[in-house]
Amino acid sequence: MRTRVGYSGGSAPSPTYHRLGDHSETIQIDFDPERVSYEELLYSFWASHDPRRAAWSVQYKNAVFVHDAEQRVAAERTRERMARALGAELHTEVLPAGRFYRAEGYHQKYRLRGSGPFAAEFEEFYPVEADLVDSTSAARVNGYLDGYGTIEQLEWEIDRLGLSASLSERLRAEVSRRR
Amino acid sequence: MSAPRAEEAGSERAREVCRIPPIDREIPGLLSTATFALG
Repeated sequence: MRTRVGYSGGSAPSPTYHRLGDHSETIQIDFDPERVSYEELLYSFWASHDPRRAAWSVQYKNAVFVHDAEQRVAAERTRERMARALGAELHTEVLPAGRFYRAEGYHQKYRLRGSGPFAAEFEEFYPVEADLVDSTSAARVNGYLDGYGTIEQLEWEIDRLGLSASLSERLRAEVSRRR
Repeated sequence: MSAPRAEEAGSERAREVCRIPPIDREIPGLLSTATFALG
């Protein structure tokens, strides 16, 4: 799985953080459907926000941007299910995916970049920024540092993350502490 | 300075590849893309 943040949903050309135009802040995920289904991603999406709440602004709206007819069917189906379960009108939209613009480097893998020794190690692995952004390991470590995942999940994959022994221990300690 | 010999260049490349996290060296299947806005 690879993740990146950016801007999408609008028509303004070449948006930036300070000149977003009519775009929204967006996350794009490349995933292997053999290992995780689109429905599982939708489940996480619906569980991560309150779809009854209207957005403060276009920048911060909630939406599923669907890439094909199959995704549209799944997204609409889960939206209807949520509306029935909550018994309320939903503000979260299902929209066709348009062009996605990568956000500036300093927004990518934000927690990882803010964690000095982790950032330094990943910059050694990946001197080219785009490679670091598209790293599955960087996405996983960024998530753990941001409070997601369990110690059991970390133990299952820690050897595959490629961290030095000292940073592996540090990440273990961090994830264990918040149980 | 003379150019590095082929085996030296090769071992340098091998060292670089070894530094890439194992999870990133796994060959993924055909990837799909999902896009969400979470305000």
